[in-house]
Amino acid sequence: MVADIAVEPSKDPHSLYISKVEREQVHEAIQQPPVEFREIILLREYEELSYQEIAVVLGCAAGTVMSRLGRARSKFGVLLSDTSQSRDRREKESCE
Amino acid sequence: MNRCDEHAADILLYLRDELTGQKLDEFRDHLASCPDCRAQLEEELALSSLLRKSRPLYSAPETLRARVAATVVQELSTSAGVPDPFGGIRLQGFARWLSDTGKRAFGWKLVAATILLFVLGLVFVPDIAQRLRAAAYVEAATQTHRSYLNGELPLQCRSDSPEAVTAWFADKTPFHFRLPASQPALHATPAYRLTGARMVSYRGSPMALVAYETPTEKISLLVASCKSAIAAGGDEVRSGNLTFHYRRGETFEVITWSNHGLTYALVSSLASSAQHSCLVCHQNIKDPATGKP
Repeated sequence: MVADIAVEPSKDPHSLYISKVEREQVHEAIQQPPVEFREIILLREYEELSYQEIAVVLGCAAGTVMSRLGRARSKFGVLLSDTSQSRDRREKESCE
Repeated sequence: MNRCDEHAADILLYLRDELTGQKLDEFRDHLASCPDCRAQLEEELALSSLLRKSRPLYSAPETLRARVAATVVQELSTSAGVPDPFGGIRLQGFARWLSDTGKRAFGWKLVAATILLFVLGLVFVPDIAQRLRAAAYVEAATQTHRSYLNGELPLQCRSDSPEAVTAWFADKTPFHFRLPASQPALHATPAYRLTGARMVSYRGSPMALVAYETPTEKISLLVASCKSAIAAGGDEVRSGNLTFHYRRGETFEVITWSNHGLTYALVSSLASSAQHSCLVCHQNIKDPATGKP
């Protein structure tokens, strides 16, 4: 089986669990926004392209990239907050 | 527009050290006197850190990416009707960009990024979605088993008769399933025993919980429709036409599989390998690796 995560020996089991939960939240959140937000976040944060480079790939102006990235980040911030809260709620309910 | 609005874009540039010269000095001065922008910067840093921690740690080698890029260019030049897997990436613009040698000065970094979008559209996103659905089912099965062990999900039907349990489910599940009449009578002492069943809910749909026990522990079998649950990921073990997906968690082992429109999850504490977990109760099945029982 191919591992898709790195196991960090310095981390304790609780930290590893938290990292796993965070990854799942991000992957869940990444499915949700419109493609124009998803693609710009992936180019910026995963591929680490500059504004100018993203503008070339997407065929739009650098100013458009900046405004779209700002809106995309806001959207992801809200989504990640929502998924985190709903997960906390589920865990709380399952413990009651 | 207030001063913070003016600096909203600067925060994003500052994150990646793309703010320079006088603009950088002005932004730093503003940051020193503005708690709102400092808080915003902290939030953006946290978001970037979270996103980057979650990105895949593996990627295609540069040579493979280059071959894919060349293939895409060739395909685009010969086909006018290429489907758009990402639902929004502008293929024509992409084709123009790839064929524009002047813009290739940015190098393979951009090619790689663009290929990533196509790969994401074709492979990554569906795969992630499938894995998430499968993982959610495993998590739900684990939680259900834990609740059952804690006494929070008492059995609604108590019987060691597969026929009686099958009949009890008949008017309760939107799907039809039937428990095997009995386990193979090859051993004087059965490896496991049916104890009963109850209904539970998964994503708003009914799910069947069938309870078994061995002399040392309790085992849960969850049964859901393939419309609400799928089996994927983990260590795969094939047996006949079935593929079993084995996951070992900190407390429980979960084996999932799909068959005839239903998805099953078997949860236990049996500490063993995927194949050995099956062999605990089904000693007569052959080991697919050796062909021996």
